[in-house]
Formats: sequence, structure tokens, C-alpha cells
Amino acid sequence: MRLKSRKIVFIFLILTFISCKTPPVPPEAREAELLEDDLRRAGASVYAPDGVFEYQREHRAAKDRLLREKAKFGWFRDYDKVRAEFQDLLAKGQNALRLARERKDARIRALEQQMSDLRQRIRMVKDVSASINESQEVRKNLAKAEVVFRQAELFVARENYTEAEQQVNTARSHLARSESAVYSLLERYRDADQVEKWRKWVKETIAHSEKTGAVVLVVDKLARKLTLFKKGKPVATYEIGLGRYGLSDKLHAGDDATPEGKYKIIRKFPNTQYYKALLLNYPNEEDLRQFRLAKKNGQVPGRADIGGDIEIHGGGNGNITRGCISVENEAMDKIYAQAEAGTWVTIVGSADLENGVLKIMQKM
Amino acid sequence: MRGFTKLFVVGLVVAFAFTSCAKQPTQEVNDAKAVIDAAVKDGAAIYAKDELAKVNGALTAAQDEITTQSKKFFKKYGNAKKMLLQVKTDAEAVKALIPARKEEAKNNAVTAQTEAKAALDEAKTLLDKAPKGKGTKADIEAMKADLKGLEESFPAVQTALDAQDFFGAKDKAVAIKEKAVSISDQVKKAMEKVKGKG
Repeated sequence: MRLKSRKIVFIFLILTFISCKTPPVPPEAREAELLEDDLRRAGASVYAPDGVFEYQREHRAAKDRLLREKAKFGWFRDYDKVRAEFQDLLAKGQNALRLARERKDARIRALEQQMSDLRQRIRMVKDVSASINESQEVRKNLAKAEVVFRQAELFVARENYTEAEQQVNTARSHLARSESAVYSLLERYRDADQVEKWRKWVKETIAHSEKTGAVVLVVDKLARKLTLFKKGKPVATYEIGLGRYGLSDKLHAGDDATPEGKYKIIRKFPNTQYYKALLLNYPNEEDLRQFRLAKKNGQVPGRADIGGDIEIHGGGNGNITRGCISVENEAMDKIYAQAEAGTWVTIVGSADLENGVLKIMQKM
Repeated sequence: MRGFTKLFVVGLVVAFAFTSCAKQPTQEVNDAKAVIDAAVKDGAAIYAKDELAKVNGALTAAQDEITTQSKKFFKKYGNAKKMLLQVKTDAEAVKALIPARKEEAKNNAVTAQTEAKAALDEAKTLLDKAPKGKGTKADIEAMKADLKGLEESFPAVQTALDAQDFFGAKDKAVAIKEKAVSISDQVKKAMEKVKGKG
């Protein structure tokens, strides 16, 4: 009996010893743990939530089965099934990780593209606004768009793409207001009939110069240029400043707009507040007709006068005038020397459909 | 020998009773989670993001340890309890970090706000002083419009501060300051241009 008991204990100890010599746990179990960390780091719960939740659920189940297998005596342990399960799990996890990375990359690329487009649009509106005086509303909204856009850049630097996307949308809405202000200002300049009318004036003026050999001046408001023609040929071009609302056609006194039409110099002033000046015969017959019509239609204030004293004068081309055309004093010297009473001065919005500003607007 | 066998069996039963019936540390888990939740409520996800992730990872590891032990024949929750205690201590440390970090973020935002205001004031003063003469008036008018846009954006900094969005407030203030400084630089250049011509 004693011998039998000893045998039982001996066998028990041997079994215990053997059961301690367990087959190794599949390395895939550790890889699955590491992969879960990778998924977390890649933000997979945001970019591939379904895949991650499935992975986490199956990972838990696989760990349970691994534990159950580990709990068995060594003799009965078989990790083959568990290993296969972990291998399957790893494949799914890798897919989720790849998907998450692809989606994250795609989101970043889309955001970068949006930001690049927005940056370009901001630059274009800025370029347009630099050449127009009526840009207060444009510039104000543009500044707001730039501030918010900069915030978006700071969020991107911190990899906070959700906030960055929100800021990009806000910047876009500020920019849209800015662009809308530009469109309303330059609507006339995109009207082909209007531009054709201006071109016709310019052609007639140049033809007159060619026919008579006289000096004529052509002012392109959008291009901000004054060109001096002699015998039908352009001799010199000067940059100009305009009224605060210079791109609009002058309708009445105090509107700070620069008139459009075919005018003549009626007087030369060698010394004025703005260096030298050439007085134009504004308002001409067409201006008076337009003014009367506008007054009849209630487009101008009841007591408003049509105004006058529109000049080409010195003082600098960066000036904002009340409707006159200003040039640098050096340019004024040259223009003054060539022009005389009776010299034709044709002022148009734009004679060039290919004008840079309009080109930018077409892209906007 | 019969006595020995009996003793062996009794020993096994006692060991079984002490181990397989060991109670899971549920209370410890709840305590640790409660401290983490409190830290999150205080803003740990914003002000101690990395530390919070570490504590959450440690909690998961402790819970895994509990699961591991629960599957075993001889259950030992001592290690899990130790881990949970550490999680609780670490979570309390994270929670303790937040007020200082929040204060720091707030101070940074307020400093940025003050700097932005100073930059706006400087740009405004420069624009008011800038000679509206030869060749500069149009530029100055444009910059005034830019400044107006910035001034209208500025109250949003205080709004963000009031909402305790200190990082957002700082970013906005920094963006406004940068733009205001660039306006000041342009005004200075325009003034230099006038001086040069004069």
C-alpha cells in the first residue's frame, strides 16, 4: 500500500513536471499586443473604427482562448488553433492599420489641397485688391480670412486636423465675402458690350491722333495707366492714381468716382495744390444726359450736383483722389509739356479684355 | 501512508478554496476609473494628453491581468491590485498636473492676447502717423482696411478665453499679432519710401 501511494505521488510529480514544460506561447500573441498599440497610435479608432472594434473584440476572444489553452496541463496544450486565430487576427489588424493610415493620409492630402487652393485664392484677391481703391470691404474680409487661415496652419502643425478643417471652412466663408465684394465692384468690367464700347472710344481717339498727328491721352482705369499717343503711336505710359471709388463711373459731385468718356483739356495750370494740372471738360454732353436720367430715376440724391473740376494732376500715383487722375510729378512734367488745350483725353474702365485683373478674376 | 494521502488531498482542497475563490479587485478597478474620470473631467485630454494615455494604458494592462488571473486555476490578484493602486496614484498625479498646465495655457493665451493688442495699437498709431502724401495714400487706405479686419477678429480671442479654449485663444492672438506686425512693417517701409523721395 505504501509503495502504491508512493507511486501515485511520484506519477503526480512527474506529471506536474511535464506539465510545466509547456510548449511556447505563439509569438503572434505578442505581435497582436504591439499591433493594438500601433492601431491606437495611428488613430485607427477615428479613421477605421469598424476594423479596430472588430480587431479589439477578436483580440479579446483570442486572448481568452490562449488563456484557456495555457490553463491546460502541458500534455493537452495545443496552440495550433490559437496561433491560426492570432494569425487571422493579425491579418485583420494589419488591414485596419493600412486602411487607417490610407484614410488619414487621404484626409491630410485633402486638407493640404484645400489649404493650397485657399492660399492661392487669398493671394489672387489680394492682388486684385491692390489695384483698386474701393477695396475696404475686400481687404477687411481678406484680413479676417488670413487670420483664420493662419490658425488652421497652427492646428495642422499640431496634427489637429478636425480643428484645422473647421478653420479652413471659416476662412473660406470670410474669403467668399471678400470675393463677392470684388465681383460687385468689377461686374461692369466683365461685360463684353461695355468693354467693347470702351474699346471703340479708344480706337476713335487713336485714329484721331493718327489722322491729325495730335497728342492724345488714353486712361485705362482698371490697368491704372495713362498712355500718351502721338500720331497714333503710343509714346509713353504712366501709372496713375484714381478716386476712392475710381473704378465706378462718375455720376455726381462727391461720389469720388472717376468719370468715363471722351473729354478734352480745357485749361492748363502750372502751379496747383497737386503740382501741375490739366482741367478736363467734365461734364460733357453724355455725362449731363446720364446725370439727368439718373436723377429722374432716383439714382442720385435730390440735391446732388453733377460736379466738375476733374483734372489730370501731379502729386503721386499712389494718391486717392476725389475723382481726378493723379500721376507722379516727373510724369506730369512730360504730359504737361505735350498736352495743350483741346487735347483729347479718353477715360475708359478697361480697353483690354486680357487685363491682368480680369484674368485673375476669371480664375477666381 | 493513508494519512499522507489524506493530507495531500486536504491541502489541495484548501489551496483551491484560497485561490480559485479569490475575489476580483472590482473596488480597486472602480476607484482607479473614478480618479481617471475626474482627471478627464478636469481637462486631462487637453492638458495632459500623453500622461492620460499612459494611465489608460496601465489600466488596460491591469484589467488584462485580472482577466488572465480569472482564467487560471490558481487565481492571484495581488499583482493586479498593485497595478491598480499604481494606476490610481498615477491618475491622481495626472489630475494634480492639470491646474498648473491650465494656468500656464491661460497665461500664454493672455500674454499672446496682450501682445496682439499691442501689435494692433502700434499698427494703428503708425497708420495714423503715416504721411498720406505722394504715392502712399492708397496703400495706407488698404492697410487701414486690413487693420479693421484684424480689429474685428480680435474680440474672438476673449471669447475663446472666456470659453476656456486657451490654445484656440492663443492661436488666434498669434495670427492677429503676426498680421498686425506685417502691417506695421509695411507702414514703416512706406514711410521710408516717402523719406527717400523727400
